[in-house]
Amino acid sequence: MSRPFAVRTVLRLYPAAIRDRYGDEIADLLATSSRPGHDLADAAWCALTERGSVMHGSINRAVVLRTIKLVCVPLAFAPVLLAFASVAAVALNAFPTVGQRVVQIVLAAAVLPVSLLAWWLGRRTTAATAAAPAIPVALGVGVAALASVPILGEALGEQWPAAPLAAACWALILTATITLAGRLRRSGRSRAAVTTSVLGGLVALDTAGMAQMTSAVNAEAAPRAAAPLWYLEAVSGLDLGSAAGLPDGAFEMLKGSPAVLTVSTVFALVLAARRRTGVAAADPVVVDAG
Amino acid sequence: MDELTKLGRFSEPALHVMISLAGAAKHGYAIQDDIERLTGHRPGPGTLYGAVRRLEEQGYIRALQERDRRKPYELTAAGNAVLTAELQRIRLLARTGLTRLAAT
Repeated sequence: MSRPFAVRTVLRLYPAAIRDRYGDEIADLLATSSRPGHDLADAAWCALTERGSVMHGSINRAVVLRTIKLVCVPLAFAPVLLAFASVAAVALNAFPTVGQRVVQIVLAAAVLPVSLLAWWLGRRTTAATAAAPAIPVALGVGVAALASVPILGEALGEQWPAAPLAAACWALILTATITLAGRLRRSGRSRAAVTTSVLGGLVALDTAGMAQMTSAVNAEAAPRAAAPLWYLEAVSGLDLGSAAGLPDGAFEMLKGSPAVLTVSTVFALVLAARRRTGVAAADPVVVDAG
Repeated sequence: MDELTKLGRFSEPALHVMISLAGAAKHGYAIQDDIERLTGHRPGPGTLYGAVRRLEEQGYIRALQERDRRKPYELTAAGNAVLTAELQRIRLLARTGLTRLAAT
């Protein structure tokens, strides 16, 4: 390998900004060096150091900050859900004759406006977060963390670690869903990508409900044959008889987990879809301030 | 070495570059020669310009007009002050160490 070629190769290792500023001077010293092997190795090592520090400084720190913000999203959704449910509860006080089941359905309905809010937020949030498959992982960590907070975390289920386990299952399946949908979208199959996202999201939520319930309640109280209905019963407040052994069915046992995960699913799928299509880059930033 | 420690693994080469520029402005090759004379070790181009870049960013040195296709660098007033403080700190450290050695 000739020295000019070696010099050019080493200079290419430098970040462009540093190469533009000091490249000629470094090349001059390398060209006239009395110990070219040593100096080429020194420049190559320093170039990689510079590249590492540039990545560490500009990319990694930004990605870490944005991922932390994603982890915090469920922490924001939970009080909003609670606020909507509280408004519904106050409104129900005006109708003292309504039954317990109606109360549950109305409280569960809080998931609808908050899902719309999540959809809007997903549309407005910059897509320059972490990689798309990392979005559900970050959100799942947030849900698991919230569920692990003493007393407060019981709003997502009283049996620890059932809710964090559910969040882990949800994140795993949603990550696979987003990865698959992204591949379909890149190959031009947009409709298949949307179908995959919707079905994958439902499977993720249903699996999370099953994981939480099976780890918290025995088969006698919640027959496993009805497992696929647990999430649906909990998120809707309807009595589907899926947990007949429990006084208030799956709604009471799973508490706020299905609602928080449903809202997080909407947010994750919308955000991931926008990241794949790259639409968000031109849009205003709402959540992301990093 | 409060100010120069911010430069990480380039802090020692940065000190050598500043000492080299304390007498007069020099270009890269002349700085290499001078540091080799001072320390017995010639810094590689990557190490040298890693330190130069950081010193320039901190405002301790600045580039002058190119001469003979080579760009000389000189100490700034801020660089002068940092170097003075650093060398005084080293002198105090060396004096204390030597005094203690002499006492044993």
